[in-house]
Amino acid sequence: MLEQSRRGGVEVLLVEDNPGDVRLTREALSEAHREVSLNVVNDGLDALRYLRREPPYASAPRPNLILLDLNLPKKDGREVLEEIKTDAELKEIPVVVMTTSDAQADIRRAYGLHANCYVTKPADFDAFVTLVKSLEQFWLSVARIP
Amino acid sequence: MLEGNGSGPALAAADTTKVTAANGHAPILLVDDTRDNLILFYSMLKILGQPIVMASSGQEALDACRENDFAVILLDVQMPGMDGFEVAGRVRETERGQTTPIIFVTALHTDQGKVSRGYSLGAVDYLFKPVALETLRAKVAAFIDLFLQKQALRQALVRAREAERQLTEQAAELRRSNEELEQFAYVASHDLKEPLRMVTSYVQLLARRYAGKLDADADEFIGFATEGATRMRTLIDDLLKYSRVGTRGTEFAPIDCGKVLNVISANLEVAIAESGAELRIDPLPTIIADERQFEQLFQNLLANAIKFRGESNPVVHVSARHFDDLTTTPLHNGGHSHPGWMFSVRDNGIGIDPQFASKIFLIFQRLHQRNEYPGTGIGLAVCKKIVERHGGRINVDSKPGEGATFRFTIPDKINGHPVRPNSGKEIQETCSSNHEGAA
Repeated sequence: MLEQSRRGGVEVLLVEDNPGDVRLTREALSEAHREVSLNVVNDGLDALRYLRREPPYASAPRPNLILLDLNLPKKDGREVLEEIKTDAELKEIPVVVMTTSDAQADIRRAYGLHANCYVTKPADFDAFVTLVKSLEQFWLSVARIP
Repeated sequence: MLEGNGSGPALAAADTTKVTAANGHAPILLVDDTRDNLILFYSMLKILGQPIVMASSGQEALDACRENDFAVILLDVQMPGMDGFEVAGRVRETERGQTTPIIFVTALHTDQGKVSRGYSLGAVDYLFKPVALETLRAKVAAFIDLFLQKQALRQALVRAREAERQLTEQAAELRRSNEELEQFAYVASHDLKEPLRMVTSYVQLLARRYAGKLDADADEFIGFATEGATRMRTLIDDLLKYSRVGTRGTEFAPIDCGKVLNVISANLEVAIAESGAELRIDPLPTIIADERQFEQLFQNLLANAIKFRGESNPVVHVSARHFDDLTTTPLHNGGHSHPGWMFSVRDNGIGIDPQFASKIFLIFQRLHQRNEYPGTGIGLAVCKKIVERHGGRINVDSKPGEGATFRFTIPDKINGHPVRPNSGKEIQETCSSNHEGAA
């Protein structure tokens, strides 16, 4: 963690197709006052290309944390999660599933696919800021990650 | 084969052996090889106003019996070829003739042995020639009456079966459309939340970043937008709660209502302390019900009682009484008699004008302005839906300023088994502590 701070920030990959949510996440992070480099891809295929550094993401940095929406175009978030967690190179990166669904079935399935954490998108901005702050606090400060 | 219908014997060869099988018709079959006898019987019986079919041989008689349901057959015993007894035996073998009453017509000198043979073939009566007019008419008329009564009974039975089938179909259709509606409400409100989240979040972001930095109008506009979005969220959440009564119900099991009330007292601790409310809870029974929904039901009623309080501290009295027949309570208007519990939640609050007594159970129905008493008007609609899912009824007894008594019934069982639990396997979500009611 200290090492990362010294390097001047952490890399977060946000996999999210709704521009409104992308911007909300950016705004919430900026209110959290933490230097985070937020990279965004809008569908499941791009997410995997990014992580595997395939074109056009050949020089993409390896993220310290992935924020993953479940309902994505082209390749569903659940499939993306499964591929990450069965890929020896990628499976150590913590994945936070961040979605609107509060269905038990989705929650169970995500943990079954080895999601590191499952949160639902809050209904208002204040709660969103609180959520992003606590995620940032836990995953980038409290928890030791590879 | 000859046929007539009260308008004179059709002695010319008739091209049909079939008479109209209309309602109220009781066709008569005359069988005799002597044409004069046929004409004589015809003239004696035409006054009865029924279709009459005439056969001059056993074969013609059998053909007619395959085509028609006769009220009665007048059968001459002495016929060349197939005699009356043989005809009778073969009539009994036809599908339509199995139980048709047969009156044998024979000469007086016929011996007893033949008479008993006729009876063994299912003859119901004998007439001896010469036949007396009144006797013949009276006997035939009695069989016509019998035939018409049987016909009416059969039709009534068919109508009753048809009505029953339609009722069953309608009930199934109603159940299906209710389930669809609940499903629709659930999906719709779920999907509505998503765009609403965007509106709410960004209006809030606007307020955070720009409040006080634009002009006064802008601040007011943002204020209204925020308020609207917040209210819409509450409405959608409440609509979800309402639709979940049907779609997310759990299995019925024995629940201790006393314990349920303890849980609710704890849930409402803050409201009770702030209002200085006093809860008087009588001993309550254990009943078969959906525990979560019962909590929700009692909690909505108690929260309302505290919310709509008068000048003095709220006093809420919860009691229950068992009835051997719930139809003796004012809640059940007739219907089948069944035993069950009637619960009462009585308060000393502001009360309700009786003219609104049934309206308050409608979804989103509110009697007060939002700034007087907040809420979406869903609480009592949810209560009603829960009570009805348990086969009971709910009502309110109140006058303005005199408090209100909400009563609801829960039958012990319905149709010998607990009320149909819903198929929803998912654990019912915790209802929020947001308990606005409609009153």
